[in-house]
Amino acid sequence: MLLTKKFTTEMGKGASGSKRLSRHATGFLAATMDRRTFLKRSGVAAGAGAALSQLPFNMISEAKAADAKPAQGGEVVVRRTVCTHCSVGCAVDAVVENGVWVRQEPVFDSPLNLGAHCAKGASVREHGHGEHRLKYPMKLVNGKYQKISWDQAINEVGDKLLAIRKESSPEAVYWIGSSKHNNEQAYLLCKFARMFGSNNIDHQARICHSTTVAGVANTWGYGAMTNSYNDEANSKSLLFLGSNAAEAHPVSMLHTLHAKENGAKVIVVDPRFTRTAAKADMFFRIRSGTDIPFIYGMLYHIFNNGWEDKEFIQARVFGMDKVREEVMKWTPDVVENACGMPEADVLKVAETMAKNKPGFIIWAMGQTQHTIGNAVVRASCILQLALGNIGVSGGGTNIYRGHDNVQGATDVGPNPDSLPGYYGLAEGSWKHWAAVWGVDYEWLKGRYVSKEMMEKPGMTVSRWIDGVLEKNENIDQEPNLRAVVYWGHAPNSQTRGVEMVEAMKKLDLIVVVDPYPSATAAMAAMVRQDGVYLLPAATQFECEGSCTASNRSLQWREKVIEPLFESKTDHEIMYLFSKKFGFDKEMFKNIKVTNNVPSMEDSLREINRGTFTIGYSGQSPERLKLHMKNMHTFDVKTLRAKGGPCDGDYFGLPWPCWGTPELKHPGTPNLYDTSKEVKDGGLNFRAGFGIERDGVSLLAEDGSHSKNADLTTGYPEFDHVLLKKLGWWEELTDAEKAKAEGKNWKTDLSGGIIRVAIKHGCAPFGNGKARAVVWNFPDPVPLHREPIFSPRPDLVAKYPSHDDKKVFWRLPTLYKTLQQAADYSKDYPLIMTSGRLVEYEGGGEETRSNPWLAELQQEMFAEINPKDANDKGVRNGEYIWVETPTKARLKVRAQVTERVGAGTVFLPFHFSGWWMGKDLLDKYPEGAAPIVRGESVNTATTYGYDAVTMMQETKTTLCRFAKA
Amino acid sequence: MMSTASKTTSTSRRKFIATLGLGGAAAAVAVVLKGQAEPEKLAAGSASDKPADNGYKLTSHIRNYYRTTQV
Amino acid sequence: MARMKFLCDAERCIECNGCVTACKNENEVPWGVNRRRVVTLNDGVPGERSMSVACMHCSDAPCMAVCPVDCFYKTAEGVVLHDKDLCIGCGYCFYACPFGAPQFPQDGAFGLRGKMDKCTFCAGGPEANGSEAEFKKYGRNRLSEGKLPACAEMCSTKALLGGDGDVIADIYRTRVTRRGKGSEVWGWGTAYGRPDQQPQTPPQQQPQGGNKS
Repeated sequence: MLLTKKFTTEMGKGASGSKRLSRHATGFLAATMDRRTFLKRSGVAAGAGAALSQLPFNMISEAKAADAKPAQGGEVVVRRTVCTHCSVGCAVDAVVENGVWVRQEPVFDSPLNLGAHCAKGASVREHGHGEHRLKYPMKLVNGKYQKISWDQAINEVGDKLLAIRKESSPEAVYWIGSSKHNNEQAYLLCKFARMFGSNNIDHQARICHSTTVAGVANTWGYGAMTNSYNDEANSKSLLFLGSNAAEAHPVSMLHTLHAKENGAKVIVVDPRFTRTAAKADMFFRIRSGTDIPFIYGMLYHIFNNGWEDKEFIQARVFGMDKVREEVMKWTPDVVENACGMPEADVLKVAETMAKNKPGFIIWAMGQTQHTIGNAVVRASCILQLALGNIGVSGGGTNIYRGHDNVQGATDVGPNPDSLPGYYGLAEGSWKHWAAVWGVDYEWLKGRYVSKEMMEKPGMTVSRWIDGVLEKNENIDQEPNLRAVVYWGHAPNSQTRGVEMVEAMKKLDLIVVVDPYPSATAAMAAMVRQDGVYLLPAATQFECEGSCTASNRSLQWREKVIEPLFESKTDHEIMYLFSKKFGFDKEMFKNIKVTNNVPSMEDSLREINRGTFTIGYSGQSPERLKLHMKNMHTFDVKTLRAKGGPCDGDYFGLPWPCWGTPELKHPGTPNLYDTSKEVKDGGLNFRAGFGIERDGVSLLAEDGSHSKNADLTTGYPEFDHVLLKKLGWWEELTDAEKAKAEGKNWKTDLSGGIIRVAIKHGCAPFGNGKARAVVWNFPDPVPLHREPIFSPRPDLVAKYPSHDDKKVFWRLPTLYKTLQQAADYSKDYPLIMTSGRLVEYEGGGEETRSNPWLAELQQEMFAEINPKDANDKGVRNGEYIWVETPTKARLKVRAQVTERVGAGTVFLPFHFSGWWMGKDLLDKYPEGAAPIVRGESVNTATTYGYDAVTMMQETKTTLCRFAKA
Repeated sequence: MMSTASKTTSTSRRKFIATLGLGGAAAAVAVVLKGQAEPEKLAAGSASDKPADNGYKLTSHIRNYYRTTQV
Repeated sequence: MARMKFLCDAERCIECNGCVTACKNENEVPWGVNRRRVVTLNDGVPGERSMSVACMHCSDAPCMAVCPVDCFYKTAEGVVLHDKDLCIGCGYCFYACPFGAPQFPQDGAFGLRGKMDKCTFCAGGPEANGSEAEFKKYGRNRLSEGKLPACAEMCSTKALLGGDGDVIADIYRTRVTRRGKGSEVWGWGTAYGRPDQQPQTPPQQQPQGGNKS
């Protein structure tokens, strides 16, 4: 027995003999130069001084950490929560002692992450300490932030907003909500803005996957990830086009690598050799922004070799022949000229996908953040439709959402063009929600300037700055914006930073509601002396509620700790303002409020009662909590519970979870999968686009339907008329009949129409065809168009951008005139693109304030190819100025690497706190600046917006650089 | 690849036998939590799940971890 | 008696640093001290591979051999620990270690760098298990709680394996068999000797495809 403890340390001594100095790890460390070592050697030690004072080891210095060891006999509880960073939905067990979050344990039982975490997930406990948090309400006075009380904050901010509302109308206030809010808060904020009387509200989804949501929903019904991360284990091929999952969704790689180890082919096509590419079987580089030429290049080979799934296309797809016409223009030489990939490589990818089915195409911001984002994502859908890779386990479009609850906030949260659940803003939609909320439609209408403004989509978060700066006669609402409320959203995630600062100057009022001051605080203090308020919000670990992972599964978070410092939960802050504004009674009519805190359970129940469109109706708080307690009963590969209290359910009841909770629908793991009954999670494509187009039926062909459906052909969506025609009306109870009369499946508050449809094996939303041609979009067949700031003027002539739009989401929007105003590539010959790092998330203030993460990535940098570096005489690790056509200049370290091809410069987007070479440390409230600060890439990004959703172009613009 | 559920049954007999006779998850958790609250008592080795050396033992927590590496 | 080992499956490691922050979090390791880190070779080019590296708790630990004050000891399961009360911060162990594991809180000449700190396999130190004194000096003692090191337990892709050497070698062998390819486990020969008994497999294949721009 060897010795282990202090009193018995004899035997370990001198046991070892040989010294193996030759294979010294520091030796090979010196030979390599990766992102981290490169920066450390540049001598940066940001934050080290501050951190040293908190050293926990008493041999180093006396421990001060509050959580080091609580008093003996303290109450210890374990609370189950979910990581608040990306959309994988990793469960976390938080150990709390005497109200302090002392430890974090992995949840091996979670079928989503099996206990696994990336750097961010493994560090969430830091939120429970949050030394760099915004600690109390603050107000900018003479250029400095001063502490104020909550009463003063609510009253002053409330009075100012009410005054603006009165003087200029409710539309003069722009509300920027959050994908970091849980479902209930996101839903409440949506309701809150509407009761304030405005559709001028948006959140991160606009700049992350709005093009996906619109493009994919218009193709086949729902604009969400079709399958789950887990389902990748069932696939035979995975094509990553526009996703760097190894950094942006690290734990998803657990499932990807499972697939790979079972023989699936992993292919990465990207402008960068990403860390995902390092794990792939094949990697091919393309020019940023040329996804459509590449996809059509693949389809060219697929059609020419007869690899398409003809039966699937005939039965379930509309318009593929039109797409084929466009595809045939993309001959291999044309493709290579546009995207840079030779025929052999494109053919190889096409053949691999065609011969290894089922397979996935996986994307994130790489496809979405373009002026043609809506077309790119539809081209991806078309590829999968052609291959018959939709509606199967192991195949689909796995669209990786960004924030932990961006899917949920998109579904039921603060969107400018829709009430919760994609109901839109039409009169019928308003009446539906008025009924759910228990308020009078006329009262709601009275909150708005007019019925017209009530039904007109608001501005988008990508363009709020133009709502301030644009000439009043050019905007499609009465006033310009006078106030902006940043409620859980970073400013440095939006493009055109230079103009943003101009807009901030011009505003009457800026309000930040956030756990951190965020870059807004610093940017605003840089250009203003007053008129800025910072309100400390609690994180999701300081409240309870549900969140929706990328695979549409909902998880319930328990509250880990009480709100830290003077922070309040977002829903409490909403309640306080609703009281100030005088609509608290209406807003919380069905929701119990205790000590100013609205019930999250009641809020979810209200969501359940109204959100039939996407099946957010069956996920009651009780069912979700039962899932969280019984995670171990769910199978990792299918996500289905075998036995136990959740028997037959899919984990987290992935939407659509049809009907009322009492219907016990198990959720839908893979969308449009006809091999299962609808009651077991089966589905077909939605019949949402009419019955017929150009003489062709838009309903599924005979024999194409979900398993065991009583209707064995295509059928339209269910309503009271169809039910009566089919003779199924009598199957409704009397109570259901009373509510269902005159209604359709979406507006029948009894859920009876849905219940009866499913009883007959039918999908409530009908059985239609997917659309390869989306005739209501600017380019019905997806077309390649060069970015506004293109490095290829010759191709701009051939593939020009859209015509300018005079009124688009209330604003004029430029395309062609800007694109053709100059050949920008002469002075700015390099492509500038941006993306994510594993250590940080979003705008990054939260993660850069976490010392465990900040230490790993201490400085902003740009990746430049050795050729470009040598041409400019720049050496690795030197400071450079990166400049774009906006004239903004970014001072960053050069990382010289083959990761990017010659002609491309990559910058990560999580940094802020520097402004064109200047550290803004003194512009933050004292003690609340993030540990690591750096240039924000979006200070320098250029103009450019998707022609359907106003998504911003971040992935392809132009720049040049020089030694600093 | 095996699913979580089938994993247990397909574990080799040798390993299966090696894991017999250990306390359930609840017991392990209880010990852990108690350990934080009352370190001195625990060090004395009061809990039945802890062998005298207080070192490695194949608890349900560890078995669960091993399982996740093989899914 | 089970022998505790670490194994990093380079086919799985994605350099996410989950292990690094798990360690920081669980043990409250201060800024600048890195008990574990991820090393990447061929960064940014085909063939890029990463490995998570910390103290490997060697069979014949060179640190133990060179320590002038004999502050090291080894547990029954082969975990190499040390006594900070005895450590004089000379740094010999750092020069001896093939993995660069020993860390020092400060830079400086002999005697000024403070007590050495390194990975404990989440097994604490000489003080009573789970005691405050142990936590402050060495971090958590998960092993005594019936758990394994936080880094391995939280690894994002289950690349870093930790635990009973026989079990993790088995797990790795199964993976290699399934893949039909694999590579030598980095560091095992150095740390645990007896290379003939390591889980070995044919050489690694590189990703195909071009690197065009």
